[in-house]
Amino acid sequence: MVKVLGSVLIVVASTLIGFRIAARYANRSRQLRQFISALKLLETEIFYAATPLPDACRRIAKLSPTPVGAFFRQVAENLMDGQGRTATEVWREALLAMKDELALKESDRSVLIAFGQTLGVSDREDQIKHIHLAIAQLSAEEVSAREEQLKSEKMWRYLGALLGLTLVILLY
Amino acid sequence: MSNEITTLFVIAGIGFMTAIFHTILKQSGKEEFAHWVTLTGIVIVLVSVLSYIDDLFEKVRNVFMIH
Repeated sequence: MVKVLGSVLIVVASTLIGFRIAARYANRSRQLRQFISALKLLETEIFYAATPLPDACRRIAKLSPTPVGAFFRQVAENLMDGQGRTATEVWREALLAMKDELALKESDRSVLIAFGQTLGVSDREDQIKHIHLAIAQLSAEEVSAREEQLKSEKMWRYLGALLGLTLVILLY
Repeated sequence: MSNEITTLFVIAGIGFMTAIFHTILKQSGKEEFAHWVTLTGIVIVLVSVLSYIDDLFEKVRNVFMIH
């Protein structure tokens, strides 16, 4: 009886782990898309409205869904907290602080950090060019993320349950 | 007797699982990984029948009086 209960627990747990890993693939491509649209919003704010960076970030935070919105909120708050840090530092710190919430890979993060280094150091036209570059790089990452998602998401869903079943058979 | 039956079912289960693993991994384009999984399955089954093979050899020796 206890044996059966333990087996069921193992299978359920490993199935859930499999689904979580599969969800990371979906989250990564979704969050990349959200970052791309957030950067497009930032472009609009900078180019047409000439909004200061903290206000622009706060407005983007309101418009973006949770993890990306929370990221921009943190950037806006840290820019306004009066400690005199540059936008580059704040951007990088927010990226590192949100490492667990954002399902991004190291290559995505390096694109965003490189973009942060151009944030708030140049005039409007130059900033727009940098935003375009970041959007292009993120789009490339998004294409590869979606390919990976197609291949790996389904696999991990099955693999979690199967690994649990195998473990149960081995331990029985 | 029941212990041996259990071993039989375990071997069957592992074979079954290994086959499914292989198919799924191959479908998602991770073939080199699929081969490793198959190899691991074979090793696990071999280890679990090791004592029985030893038993068999011992019996053959006894029958033919080889010591």
